[in-house]
Amino acid sequence: MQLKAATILIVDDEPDLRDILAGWFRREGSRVLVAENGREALNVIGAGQVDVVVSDDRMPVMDGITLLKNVKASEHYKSSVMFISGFADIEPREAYDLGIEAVMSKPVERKELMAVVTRVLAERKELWCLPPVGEAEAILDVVFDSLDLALSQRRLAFGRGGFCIHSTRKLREGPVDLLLDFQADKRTVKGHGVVRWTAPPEVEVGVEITYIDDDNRAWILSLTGPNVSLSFIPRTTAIATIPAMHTKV
Amino acid sequence: MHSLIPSLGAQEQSGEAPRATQHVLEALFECVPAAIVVSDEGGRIVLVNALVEELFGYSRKELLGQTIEILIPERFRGLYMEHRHQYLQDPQRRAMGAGVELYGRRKDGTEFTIDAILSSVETQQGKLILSLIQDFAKRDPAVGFRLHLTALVNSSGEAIIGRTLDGVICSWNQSAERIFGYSAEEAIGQPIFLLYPPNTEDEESDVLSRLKRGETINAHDVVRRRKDGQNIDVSVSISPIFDPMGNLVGASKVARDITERKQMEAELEVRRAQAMTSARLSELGMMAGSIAHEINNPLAVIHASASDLLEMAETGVVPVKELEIASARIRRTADRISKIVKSLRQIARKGNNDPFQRASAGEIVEQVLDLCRERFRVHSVQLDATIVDAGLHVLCREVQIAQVLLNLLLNAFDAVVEGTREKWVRIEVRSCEDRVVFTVIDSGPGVPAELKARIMEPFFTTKPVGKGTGLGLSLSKAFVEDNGGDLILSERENHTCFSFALPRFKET
Repeated sequence: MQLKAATILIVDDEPDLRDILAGWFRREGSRVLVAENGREALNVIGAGQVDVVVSDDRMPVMDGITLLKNVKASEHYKSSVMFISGFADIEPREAYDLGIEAVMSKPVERKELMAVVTRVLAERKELWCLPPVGEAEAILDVVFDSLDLALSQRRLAFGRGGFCIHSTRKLREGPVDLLLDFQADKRTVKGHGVVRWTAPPEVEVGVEITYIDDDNRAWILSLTGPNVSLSFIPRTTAIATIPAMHTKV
Repeated sequence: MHSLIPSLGAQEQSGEAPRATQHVLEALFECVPAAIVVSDEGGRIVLVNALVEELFGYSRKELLGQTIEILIPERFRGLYMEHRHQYLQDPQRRAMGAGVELYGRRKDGTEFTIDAILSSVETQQGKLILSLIQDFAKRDPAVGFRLHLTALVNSSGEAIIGRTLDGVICSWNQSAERIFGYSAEEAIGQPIFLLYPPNTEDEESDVLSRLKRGETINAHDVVRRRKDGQNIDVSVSISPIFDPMGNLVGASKVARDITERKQMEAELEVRRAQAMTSARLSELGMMAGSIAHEINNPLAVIHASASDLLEMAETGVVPVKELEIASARIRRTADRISKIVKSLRQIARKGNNDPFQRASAGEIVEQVLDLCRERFRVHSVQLDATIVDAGLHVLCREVQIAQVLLNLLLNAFDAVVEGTREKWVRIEVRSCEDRVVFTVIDSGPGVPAELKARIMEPFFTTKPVGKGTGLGLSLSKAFVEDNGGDLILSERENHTCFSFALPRFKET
């Protein structure tokens, strides 16, 4: 879906900021709704179609985390949710696991925000098509026996937008090149991602996928569909959010 | 007994008259009011009388054949041997150890002071030494008492020093030796200045004039000097000594080594200061977090508006209406930040040396509210403040009072924020005669009765580790007291209620 066809809900308790953000999306041709807290936002979502919720975190009456949990728990789960937060009262690891699509911090650049919302709105088949410009500083180079073993041995778990992986090397948050070798499957996945969080001491790393090579894109997409996980990036490889669904693959 | 004293009257052994003499001597030997020990030149006991048994607790049987050392404490045995040797060299009847106290040792190991007179007789079997021994203490009750006092003085852990009015040391106990390092021989006869560090001699004239008035100088901490040149912290008390006619003749000085106490006090002070520093840092950290949140939203507004302006400039399309909206927004929001920063600057100072000044009660409250309004708002805690009469002024250190109010408000916030019921905190200011009463009430469940007594103690906290320092309330209480008030915890309709009253500033 394109921005100009989308309905965006801006949730912020700061009237000026709400006005400015609404103005930015209107300029793109989006339909814009506003709410000043999580409770109001839930009412708006209940009343009609909302494609993306762009929400503050700390708000009176109902904060962003509670709003997110409510949205993800609702039966007609359709809206994507992203945070623009001043102070996250929640770690990125937990937020991504709860299903949030993106976390941006205040102050936010207009162009960046539009790029992220555009990505959130993208059809799944449009995902991860564009190779990054230049190389990342770090490379995540892992060899697995097979995908099934990697999943059952809990070295890897997929979410809708990325994966959590046991890494023997410490990675820094930021862009990373991917080289994932699944030997029995005869697949070498090349791609690009962004390390969203790292968690010593067990050295688990949460990676959002931004690009997968043409040969493997469909394969990875099939592993990461919304039916696999509510998580955007699972918080751990050990306990998958919907464990039963992994075995389907 | 006859056989036991072969030496006595040996020449008269054969006749009746000598036998009578013998009996008289034997009786006399037993009934003289002194313990008599007869020993040979080698120190072996050959004869003792009944008093020896009584005094030392041994039976005759046990003593005969033993050396006389058995009756002397081990540490004096060498001294005794020397005396005996000297005596044998120059055997005149003499009191033993003139000027030195002599000790006897009982069978049970206890010791006692004795008087001993040595005498000798030549017999066919060789020289015999007679030791006449008296229990020194029993001789005269006053002497016993004196000995008792001497023992007390010597066993005291405090230095007890006698001095004359001229400032000459005239007595010196064992603890004085231990504490100051001088032996009695070295100290007695020396001026008392021996113990004064340089440039403290003036203290002496003060001491003297007070003694002359008959005053006792109660324990006070002074620095004195040891023999090794080290200064030492002592607690000293000095009492005048009068002769029986009531004339002041000297003084006794009792000094206690307080080095350890001083060190402990110093350590405690260091630890207290560290705790205060870390508490301040921690409070500052919490406040910084709060302030960061207060100004981050306005900053985001300014940033976004400025970005819009920049984009207009870049595209060359500048709609005047939008230009006006964005600029006005930036200015209004910057004002908001500067107000917060001003309040922050005001309150984040150390105010304990500020002068007490006229301050507007309303302005203090407004300042404090600036710093926590956002925190209350985003957590949906209602923050109510009574409207304060603009003419209401208090005499105080404004910074301290603002800090106290902020602390009380944030405590109240913590008490209610997790609750599920209605959440509110109220700050009230009202004037009451010549005082102005500040009150902070919250909707929380109140302070449990068992905690009420402890809640204002330093380091007492009910908050989880890392959340509170436990110093907030105790500091607040101290600050309020500094300002002539008292921080009181009470209850109003089952709600926690902290209040304090400050002197109202009267316009002249």
